[in-house]
Amino acid sequence: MIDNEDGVRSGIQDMLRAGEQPRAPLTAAELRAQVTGRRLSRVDGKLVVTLAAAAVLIVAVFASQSFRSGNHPASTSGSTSPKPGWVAHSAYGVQVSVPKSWKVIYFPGCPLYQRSGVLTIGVSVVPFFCPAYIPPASSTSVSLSLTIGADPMTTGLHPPTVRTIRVHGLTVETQTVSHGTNQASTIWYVPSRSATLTGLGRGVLQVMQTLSVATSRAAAAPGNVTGSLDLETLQQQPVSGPVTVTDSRTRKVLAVDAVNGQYSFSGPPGAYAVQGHAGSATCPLLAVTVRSGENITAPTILCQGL
Amino acid sequence: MPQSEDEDRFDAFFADAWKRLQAQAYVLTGSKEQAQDLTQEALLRAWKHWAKISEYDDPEGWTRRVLHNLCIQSWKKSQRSTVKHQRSASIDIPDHHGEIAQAMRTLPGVQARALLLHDGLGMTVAEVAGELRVPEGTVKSWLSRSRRIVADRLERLDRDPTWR
Repeated sequence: MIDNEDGVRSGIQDMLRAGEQPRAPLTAAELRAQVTGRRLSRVDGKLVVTLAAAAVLIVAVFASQSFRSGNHPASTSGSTSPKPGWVAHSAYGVQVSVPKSWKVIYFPGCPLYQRSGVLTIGVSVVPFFCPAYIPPASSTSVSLSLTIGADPMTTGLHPPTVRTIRVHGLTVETQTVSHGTNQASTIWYVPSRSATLTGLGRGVLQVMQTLSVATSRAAAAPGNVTGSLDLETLQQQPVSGPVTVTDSRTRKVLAVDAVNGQYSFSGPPGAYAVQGHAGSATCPLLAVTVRSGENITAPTILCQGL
Repeated sequence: MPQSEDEDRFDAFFADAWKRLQAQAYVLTGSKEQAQDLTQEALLRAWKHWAKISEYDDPEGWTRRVLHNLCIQSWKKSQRSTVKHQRSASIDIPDHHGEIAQAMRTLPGVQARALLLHDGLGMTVAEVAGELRVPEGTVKSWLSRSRRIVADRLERLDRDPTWR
């Protein structure tokens, strides 16, 4: 016979001990971030349908009134506009805003400490041999990069706890990685854009929470192109010499040199025409599209000689 | 970019209260996964109202009430699931935990809360009465009835571990 009071009390207290999880699966900062980007899974389905229907009705009413009066409906992207004193930077179809005082580095090499904060975009293709770097506690940095291949959040030997949140209309998988000290990185992966945003340092979520779909108002990160220039006579051999790169939109020309058949250039995203030169040989014109924040390898330019 | 004072205070509250709140949700739901989700939801609501509840003497009390209500609301949703589904969802928890959680579900929500607050968290009858805003006599009566129901289920499990 179980004694009502003692038996039940010890049973409940045993459950309380068993139910304690020493560490929360997310940080308080991540939780706070959800106030701006709630998980839709928690919303009642009927409520979603009702709200969607109401939204459609409201949009329809506004649209019909605007078209009648010749005006366009007010933009709904106001909340993603940078705050005063902040600048939006884009790559991979997304943008983040940082204070103007932050240093912005494209395709960074070794880690750099900047008192005000650092935004890095892209990954260097050149291998760097950097000294061991422990970021100072006062540093704040955010990096935006492209992730090619499998979802980085769910692969690996021990997939970490990953939460899905919505940030300005983007579905974001989030996790926190501890560095063994008091520091932890917050990693956001945007599956629809294969973009990864990593933040480290105090207040970094204020920057990460500005993540949204890229707009034309954001400063687009440049892209990198590397390519080969070869001459084909009796055999194929690399060429050293000038390469003319023309921005198809602005007609601006970049003078680039190929060394041992290798050339590279950087520029704003867009279409470029690449013309190789190899003496009297004929070199085909190559069309290349530079993508923001990406390292592109162009097809080999094969010049034909006698 | 330093955090605001509000954010710092909430982060400290979150770090301190998470463990206790999740444990309470586990008692009321019998599922660690559900407890985690509901605790997250309750703390999210706490952050939304932080400007107000941070001024309270006991912000955790406010969050606890929200959490308990969320747990009790979740009972209704899970009643729509089949018994088979419930058992498979709680397969990794000890049988007696499952029995306590099931017994809690058979109680009116306010009585389950009274039992958790008194027998689990060690609050006095007067404190429970204050939190639930009912007379002390009512709390005593609820506790007696609730314990009998929970004890009955545990006793049945003791007699026949395959029962359920």
